Amino acid sequence: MIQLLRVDHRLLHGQVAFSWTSAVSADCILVANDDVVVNDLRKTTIKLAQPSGVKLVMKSMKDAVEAINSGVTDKYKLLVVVESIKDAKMLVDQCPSVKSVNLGGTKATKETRQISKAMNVSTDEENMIKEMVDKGVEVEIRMVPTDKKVKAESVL
Amino acid sequence: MRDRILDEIKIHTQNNDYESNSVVEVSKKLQISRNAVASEIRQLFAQGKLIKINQRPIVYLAKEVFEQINNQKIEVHEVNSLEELVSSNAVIEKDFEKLIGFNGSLSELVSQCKGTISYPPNGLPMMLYGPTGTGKSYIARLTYEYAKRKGLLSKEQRFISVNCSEYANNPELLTANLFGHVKGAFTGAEKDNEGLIALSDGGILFLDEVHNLSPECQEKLFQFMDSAEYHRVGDNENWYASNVKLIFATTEKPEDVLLKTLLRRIPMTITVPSLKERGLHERVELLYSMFKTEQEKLKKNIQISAKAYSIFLAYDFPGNIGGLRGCIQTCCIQAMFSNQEEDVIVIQLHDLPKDILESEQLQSITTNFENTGDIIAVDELDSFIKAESYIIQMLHNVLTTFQTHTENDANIAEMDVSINQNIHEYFDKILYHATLSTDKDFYYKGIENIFDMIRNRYGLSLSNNDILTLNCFIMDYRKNYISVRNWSYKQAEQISELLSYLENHKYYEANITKEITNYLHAYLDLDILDIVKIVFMFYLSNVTNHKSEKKRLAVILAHGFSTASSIAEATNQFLDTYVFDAIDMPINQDVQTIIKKLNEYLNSMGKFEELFLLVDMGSLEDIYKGIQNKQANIGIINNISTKTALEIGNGIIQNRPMEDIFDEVIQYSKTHYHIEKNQLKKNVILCSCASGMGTAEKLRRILKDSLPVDVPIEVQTYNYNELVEKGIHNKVFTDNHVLFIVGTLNPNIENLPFIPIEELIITDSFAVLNHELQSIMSAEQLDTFKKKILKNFSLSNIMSSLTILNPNKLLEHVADALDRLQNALDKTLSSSTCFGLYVHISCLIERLVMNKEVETYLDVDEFTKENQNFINLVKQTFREVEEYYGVDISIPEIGYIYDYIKND
Repeated sequence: MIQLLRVDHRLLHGQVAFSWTSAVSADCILVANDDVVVNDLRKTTIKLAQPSGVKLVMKSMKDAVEAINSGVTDKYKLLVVVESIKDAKMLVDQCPSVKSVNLGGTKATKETRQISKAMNVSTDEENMIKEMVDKGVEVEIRMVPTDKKVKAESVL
Repeated sequence: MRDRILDEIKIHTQNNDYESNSVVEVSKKLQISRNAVASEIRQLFAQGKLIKINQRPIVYLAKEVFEQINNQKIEVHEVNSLEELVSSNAVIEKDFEKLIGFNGSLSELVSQCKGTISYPPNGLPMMLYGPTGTGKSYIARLTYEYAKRKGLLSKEQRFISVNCSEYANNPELLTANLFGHVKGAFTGAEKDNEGLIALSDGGILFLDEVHNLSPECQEKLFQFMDSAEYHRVGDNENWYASNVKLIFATTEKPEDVLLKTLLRRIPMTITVPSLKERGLHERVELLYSMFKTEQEKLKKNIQISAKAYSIFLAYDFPGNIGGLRGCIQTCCIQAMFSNQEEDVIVIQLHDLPKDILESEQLQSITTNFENTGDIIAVDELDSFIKAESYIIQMLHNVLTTFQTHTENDANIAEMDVSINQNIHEYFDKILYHATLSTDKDFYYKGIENIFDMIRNRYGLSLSNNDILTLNCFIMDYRKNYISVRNWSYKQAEQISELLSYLENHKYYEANITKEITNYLHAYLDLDILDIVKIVFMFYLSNVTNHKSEKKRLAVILAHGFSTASSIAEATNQFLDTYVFDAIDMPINQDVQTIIKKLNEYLNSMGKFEELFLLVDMGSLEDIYKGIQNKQANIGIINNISTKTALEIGNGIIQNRPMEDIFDEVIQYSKTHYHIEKNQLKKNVILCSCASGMGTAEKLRRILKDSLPVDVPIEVQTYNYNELVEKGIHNKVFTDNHVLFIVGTLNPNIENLPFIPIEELIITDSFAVLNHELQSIMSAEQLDTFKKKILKNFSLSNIMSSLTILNPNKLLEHVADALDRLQNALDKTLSSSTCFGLYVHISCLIERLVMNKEVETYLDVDEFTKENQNFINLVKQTFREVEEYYGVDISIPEIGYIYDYIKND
């Protein structure tokens, strides 16, 4: 059962690990990312941030989709972390059980514009958000759990 | 004053401090003028109280004291050195010197006896083992005299001898006599008896025929030997002590007749040789001494017929020396009755005891006789004894013959003939006197085997008779080893001259001799002196047949003291055939000398058809031009090595044409090389990740940046799949010294430690790291290295997360602040928490700079209330950072830092 699907360019780091796992009382963190599974250094970084008492799984996007859809993750209270809006959209598209997306933080680039303190989105990403919202998926912006939920569509 | 001076000299003599006995030293010591001391000493010397040693400076010994120390009278007053004084003493017959053969066949026995009885602190018990009549009792007696002279015995210094066989039928009596008994201990014990052990306290107790000791008595004996205490028979309460040295003797094999417990306590068993094991020379000495005694008793001169003499000399008397003496006495009595009137007694064959005359042994002895009419006077024997032994005579003749021939420049062949004559005369003599036993002893068999082997290897025409002859020679040499050695020391110069002459002229024989000598030394522990090698060489030159048969010669010539001969020796051994001769060319010799040597060698080899010359390099390559022999084909090949020599040798043995052999050698003699780069190997840490070279490269950079500057370690990346596939055979391992591999998956390379990335960064115990690096880095460097790994790893993460701030600079600040916080909290955070905080705070600072701080925390008010102290500390320790970046870390942000530390 997915408690939260979060978009954070740093994937799992201390803040997510501590504050969000306890806030949504997750017992398993699934990091869904194609780079992490082949980048050992990044994998190590993520392992470093693993809170005690919480299971940590790293999967490629494709494997993550399969895992979520197969139902093996149902027994966990799952916190899913992805790197980008694009990856979040993929999960939303392919996994019917995903009903909500949390936008945590994305890095600023030349193509992006800032829509909140931590969120920077390109035009493509704006469109993706819109598509998701149109599908009836909740897309909200919060850096930490204690922040007030801001609907993504309200800042686009 | 004179007495003071004499006392002073006495003290120094006693202390062996002879240097202090010069006029100068004595004058200094006693504060008496030098002139006065010199004058007094002159007086003392004139009175015979001092021995003068004419060294620089002149020193004096107190004669009386010196005599006491050495336990004997000194006849000399003035000597040139202390050594001279000591050696002049040795000439006097002391104890063992009276023993015939003490410097010959019994020399080892004598030193064993001396060593055992004087073994510190109290000497050791010894067992004399030998057939009856070999002189065991006499040797025990001499051992006693030696010990007495050396001051090894205390108190009454008695020598008591007990023949245990006398008590064979009454072992209890023997026990009682040895250990003493109390009155009434047994029937007939009418009073207390001290016993022999008590009587010989401080002296020596000699137990002869010890195999007759009852087991009970043996048991009592070894108990006594253990504790030096015993009970008298019939008194089991009182202990008696005696410090007696025990000598045992037996004719039976000790292991067969004595209790093992007793034997174990007799560490030294000394074997006394039988009569037939004694050398000819010693037998003559024995004969002379025995007949001399008889002459003195009878007051008549004794003569012996040649026949009788040879029986005395050769007969294997069952009673050994005792038997011989008995026989001589019988003969003398017999002869005396038949020649009563005359002054001279002639001992004839018929005077010998019947059992000897009728024995089968006699047949073999008598058939050896020629001049049967001769009569030998006993006194003549003296001159034989005083004369050198046969072997020395022969060796002497060989040397003289060599000298006269070299002086007169006579031809070599003639010298060969006369020296061989010398040698064969000697061989005839020893064979004539040889006492051949049917049971060949250890040495005999060993020597036989060695010559058998040599005969086969070199194809020598050694008949069994030749081997017998050589065997007799070596036996005779063994028996006379000490005198041969002493003699050859005196002739050292001439011997080495002859030896080097032979090595140059009899290559073949010299080489065989070298091998024989090696074998004799290695297998039989025989020290073969140079002069004996010379005899071998001459003897072998008669039995080698290479001159007539060898049509192809092969010679190795090489620079260096023994390069050529070493290669030749090794190759001949590999081939198990004698193929190569060698001529060494010491660096300081010129080619002309070598050409001369080569020509001499070729001349000595007689007629041959082909000559293989194997040379190393340089001028030797043209050496064939100097060869005088123009009858034979000469093939020369350079760059000689043991390998090429082997191939050529094989070709020669297989009788293949010279050109074929050379062609093949050239074809196969390629030189290969391999460099084992141990010296230049670099220390390397390998980074290898299953997920590809990208990660490995990042890892490499982290490690490289973390290594202290002056540490000689290189960090390299390596393809993981190749590591798995080729393992230790990867080039990186041959070219470098790889310390360990860092990566994600262990490539499992034997003996090579692997450190997973997480462990490198997370684990606080760096066991592998410590172990592998402690020899290269100091503890301090290692600590810095570990800290920097963590920091650099964090840095690589921060880099991808930061947008505007300089990550290096920022991390420095954050790390410093975090160090301060840890100090302030008095807490050391784990590596993983540190890492998390490095990254988190770095990101936090950038967020603040960009005005994107987090404004919420679970319950800010409650957190502020409960953790005011923590908030203050963070504010304090991060002030520098805040000021540098112009930011203010809000309470909610401190809350998140608190979460990290709380979760540590």
